[in-house]
Amino acid sequence: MAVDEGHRTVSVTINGIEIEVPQGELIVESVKRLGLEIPVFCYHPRMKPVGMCRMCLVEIGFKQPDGSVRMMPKPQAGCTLPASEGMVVLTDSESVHRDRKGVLEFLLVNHPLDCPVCDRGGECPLQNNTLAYGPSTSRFIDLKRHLPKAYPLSQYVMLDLERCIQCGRCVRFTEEISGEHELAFRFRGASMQPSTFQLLDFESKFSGNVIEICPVGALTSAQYRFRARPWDLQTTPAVCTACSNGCNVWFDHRAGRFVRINGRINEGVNEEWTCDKGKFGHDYYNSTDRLRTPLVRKGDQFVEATWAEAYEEIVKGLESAGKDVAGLCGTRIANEGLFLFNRLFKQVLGSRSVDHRWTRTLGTSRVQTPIAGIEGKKGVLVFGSNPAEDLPIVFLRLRKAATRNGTQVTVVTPDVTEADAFATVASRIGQGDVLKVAQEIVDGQSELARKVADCLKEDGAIVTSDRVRNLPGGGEALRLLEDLAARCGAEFNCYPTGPNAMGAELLGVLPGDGGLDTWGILQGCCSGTIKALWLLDCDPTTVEGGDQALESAEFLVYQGVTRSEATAFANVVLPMAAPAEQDGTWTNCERRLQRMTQAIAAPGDSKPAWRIFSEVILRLQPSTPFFNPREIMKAIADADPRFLPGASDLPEEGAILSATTQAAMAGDGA
Amino acid sequence: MAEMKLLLEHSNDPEYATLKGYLAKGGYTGLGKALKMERQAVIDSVKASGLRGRGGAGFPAWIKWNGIEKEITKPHYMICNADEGEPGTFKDKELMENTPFLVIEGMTIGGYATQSKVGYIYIRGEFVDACRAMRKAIDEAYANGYLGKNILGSGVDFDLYIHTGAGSYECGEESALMSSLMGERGMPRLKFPHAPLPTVAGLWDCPTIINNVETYSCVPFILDRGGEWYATLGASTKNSRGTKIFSVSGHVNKPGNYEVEFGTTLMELLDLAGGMKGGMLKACVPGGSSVPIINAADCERAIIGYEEMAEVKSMVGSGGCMFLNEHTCIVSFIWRTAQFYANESCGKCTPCREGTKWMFQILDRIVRGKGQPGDAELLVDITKQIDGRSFCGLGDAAAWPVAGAIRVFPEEFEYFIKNGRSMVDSAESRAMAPKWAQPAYS
Amino acid sequence: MSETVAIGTPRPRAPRPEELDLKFSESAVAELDALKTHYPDLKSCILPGLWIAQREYGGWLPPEAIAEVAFRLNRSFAEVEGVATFYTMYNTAHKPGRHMIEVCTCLSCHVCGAYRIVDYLEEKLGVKLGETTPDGMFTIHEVECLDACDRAPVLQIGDQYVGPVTSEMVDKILDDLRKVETPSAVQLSDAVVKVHLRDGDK
Repeated sequence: MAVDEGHRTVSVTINGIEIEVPQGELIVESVKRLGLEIPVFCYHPRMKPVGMCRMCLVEIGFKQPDGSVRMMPKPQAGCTLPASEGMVVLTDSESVHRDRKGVLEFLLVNHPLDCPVCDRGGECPLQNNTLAYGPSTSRFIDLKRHLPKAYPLSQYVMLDLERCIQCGRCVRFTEEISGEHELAFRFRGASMQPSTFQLLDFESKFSGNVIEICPVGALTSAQYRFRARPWDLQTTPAVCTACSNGCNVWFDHRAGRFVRINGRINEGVNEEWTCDKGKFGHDYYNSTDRLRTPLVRKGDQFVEATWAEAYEEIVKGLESAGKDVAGLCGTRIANEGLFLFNRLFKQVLGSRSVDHRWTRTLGTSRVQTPIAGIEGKKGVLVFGSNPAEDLPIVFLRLRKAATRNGTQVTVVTPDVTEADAFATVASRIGQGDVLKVAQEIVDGQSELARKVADCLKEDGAIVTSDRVRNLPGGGEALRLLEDLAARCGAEFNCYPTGPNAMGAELLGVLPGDGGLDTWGILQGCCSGTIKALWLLDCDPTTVEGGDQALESAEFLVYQGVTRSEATAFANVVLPMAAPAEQDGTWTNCERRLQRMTQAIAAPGDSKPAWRIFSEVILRLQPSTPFFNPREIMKAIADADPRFLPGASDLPEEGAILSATTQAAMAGDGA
Repeated sequence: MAEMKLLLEHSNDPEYATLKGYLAKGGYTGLGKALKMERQAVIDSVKASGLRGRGGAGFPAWIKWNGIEKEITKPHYMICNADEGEPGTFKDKELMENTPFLVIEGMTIGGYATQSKVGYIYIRGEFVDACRAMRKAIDEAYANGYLGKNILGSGVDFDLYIHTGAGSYECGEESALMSSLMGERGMPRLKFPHAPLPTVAGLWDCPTIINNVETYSCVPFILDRGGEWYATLGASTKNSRGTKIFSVSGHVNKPGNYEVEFGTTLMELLDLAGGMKGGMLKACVPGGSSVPIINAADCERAIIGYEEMAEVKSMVGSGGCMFLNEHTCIVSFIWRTAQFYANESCGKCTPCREGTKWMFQILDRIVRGKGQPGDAELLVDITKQIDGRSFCGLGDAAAWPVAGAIRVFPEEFEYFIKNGRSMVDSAESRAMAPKWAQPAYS
Repeated sequence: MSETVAIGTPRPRAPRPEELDLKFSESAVAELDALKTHYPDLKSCILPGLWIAQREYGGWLPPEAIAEVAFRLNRSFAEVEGVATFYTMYNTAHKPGRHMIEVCTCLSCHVCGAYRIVDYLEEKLGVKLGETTPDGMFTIHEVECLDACDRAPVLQIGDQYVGPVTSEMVDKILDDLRKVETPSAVQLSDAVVKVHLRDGDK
């Protein structure tokens, strides 16, 4: 909290230095203004302070009218004490140091000496505080408690109950932030331990966060277990590419191999949280299914080839197909790669048939509320799909809005959602009734319609995702709700769910006039209208009709990071670099442009998508290939002013792009 | 001074636990008078009486009642702390079983004064007889217009619910009690200055008053006979007014509840309880296990009063007074006390959670004859690391008995640690010890 | 507990609401509904709800009982389990024998001979504190202060305090208990539940 006009301030004296701080600010935060730090375990700035561990005890006094200072007889917990006028704080006195030593001695009475085998060693607040303030020997000669160690609490989280120092952060996270209350303390006193119900599976979409907030090695990652020591790791700031939320993460690697993901702070997107799909969804970087060399089909076999040989095959295949070529892509590709993919087909090959969308009915997104903006809404309608599933970090923000800011949430979905727990109205609808219900809401007559209208009447927003288009009538339902929002003065959002789907859409990776969309392209392959198909990191065998399309296609290029079912059908297979193996920019669901710098080298001969397309284009049309992604972004911005922020240095937290070119030209932010 | 039966005057009369019997002995006169007074006048009456909380803290009751919001923005709640858990104390048990209407009347008067329409009596789960007596009395009160809507035609409403605990000493702590009442684990909540007082934000964030059973039971008398009259009792002490029920037990001939005026001496109390049994007086824990133990010499000069007890480095506490004769091994007594606190610690804060168990483990070792040199100093050090550093008073309550016993009876601890056996060498002391500890007494 | 499980193996999971086998009788459900009117927040019903469940499930709280209370009060299973395991009178660890005899060995009872009662019970029943007799009739426990110190040493059996107890009395107590069919934990839980209910609730 910055100290500025409009905040009431009080004068506090910390270690003899008098400063003004906002009234009510917690002392543990106030001391940071002077560059001081009070050691804590149970305190976490994003959760309610509890004062449990007593590590933050400091001496507190109050200035008296006569100028003297009356010290409180007992030390006070700095993490729960709000600043008030005339408060005097001593953070480094002898008695404070004695208290810290005492607390650490108590914690170490039962904490096992596991450092040599504990994953937390090297990045452990308990180790650090003990080194700074703790006793160097133990006076405890009795029996330590023995409890389950290395207990698999879930497929991702390992629990070691002996190491737990009962700080309560994990329990409070599941209660305050993710809301499922999956973890709770059992038993009491020295036997107190955090647990799921009966130590059964820790079923949570956000379980990974407790690993990061646990101050000791009681909750560790099963995936990362024994993989590395923190001082061996290099860490590169990155963006998660598991879904469209674009959470900021730390990409940890060692000797050129990916090791683990930790959350990184971005107040506008994920605050500091991650979701399990992202945190534990990056192991494919090391998969044995990674494509490492280009492959060319010779009869029934794939033969390793050089890039030159592969390109030769591709050029031959494309030329024989003429204009009957099409491109389909997934969305885990950086903006630069998508831009050149689009250019290859639309400008070089003269085809208008490209698409990145895979929902049953197709449409485009519409986003008016940035993720952080959800906090300020007075009412939110969640329609058609489960935000905790599709847009996890949007869900966390929604939960924060409902529980801390009193936002009224109305949920109208086919299945039970995690949002039901804090929704004022939670309504179940049939999978096939999406359009009917949307119509009902728009008509405004029914009970449900009235509740929705009430919810959206002031500062409202509708939150849906493109998954709604998978339900029959979903697309039309979204259109109706968009109209409704416009009439109520509420914001309408159909967030895309693919990692860079927003980027693909803004860059126009969509069918041009007269061009075929995804389903048209697949059909075209079967009927012969499409002779050559380029698959960019997607696998049509997972959708209806995909197998036949790939069988029928005369010439198929498969470009991807790992092998998939589709690879077997290809004529040419191109190995592609994964997101963190290249420089590139990504656009998240709220149109936030974020830059990633390369963290590790791409394996084998694989190349980033932008370079592959640059080289293919060069062979089809004389041109100057782009030198690096920055140049490509400049070209993108030249063509589309919305991307101007990408052409210059992006701030660390990224920049939200304007929705329309007019807005961009006018210099309006999103 | 002799026994002064004010609250307990009719405790032995089974009729008194019925509405008819209660009314016959002047019951509900206090409420009748209170309802005719202004709310502030009722609070002033309690102020004039000098009534201090009888649960153990001794906090002036009127400050709580006066501190509650005068303007109603949220419902107000009145809680009776009937989770009598302090070892040695059984006064609330008798009050609830034998004089339940005193409690009800006191809460109703309090409800009127503080504009609370709902009251909860949190009774520990083990006290089933007390619960049943309160249930019967409450039902009778409802049936006859003494509880519920429009009490005695005054327009004042007051609803009273019983909510039981389920076995936790910590729930006797007022904020932990509120946690338990709200359906949580019995862990204490942040207190002033870290959070608003209960009178501002307590139960469900609403203004709440919590008082002990005995405190509420004094209120009808204060309203009936006047606060000034009440303040004449105990006037010989510095600031302790009225009567206090002491639960006397241990090695005495007539254990039981004895109500005395403040200013009575501890020895007079011992006399009321029939004097020592089985041996001479050695030590006394005058106010429940949490208060420091005092030796016989200090017992001789101890006067019952909140400030007066501080002279012998102890406290009035809850009034659970245990007298111990010469055959009591103090080390063993403190060992069992430490076990009590280790079992009852809620686990929220580090010093109490780890420290109480550690102290018990050290004392357990000593009592099994495996004490190490330096154990007594280590114990005192541990108490210094807990006292004042814990989240709530249970940490202090666990530290004081150990520190106090080592201060008052250092030779017993030294002897046990050095020799692996108790300094108290008698058949009677062996008879008190657990079977596995007996070798230390032969 | 040592369990070797390959990392990434799906773990056994908690039951879904539709998988629960609810055991509350109709009157129990009515009792819980009445209790809901006593508090402005449903969460407060957890403690009395657990007493009802303890009675319905035969004197203890197996995981199913906790799940049922959580389901009926719309709380998470872990939260209710956390509450149940905090309090000593909720029997979550194991089903006690038909009669649970709890001996107070705290302070006054300690110095007034409680440990001799413990010895006698252990010898007579052939089990140690915390154990149940092989015929499933008796479980003996040591408890903290029952606050009836004037009658030290004191036992609690079901809803009754018995004290001052001598070894001679123990035999008769055990014989009388053998004739009682209703488990003492059930009788205790029922008594506690009834105490909550007002005349208007019944």
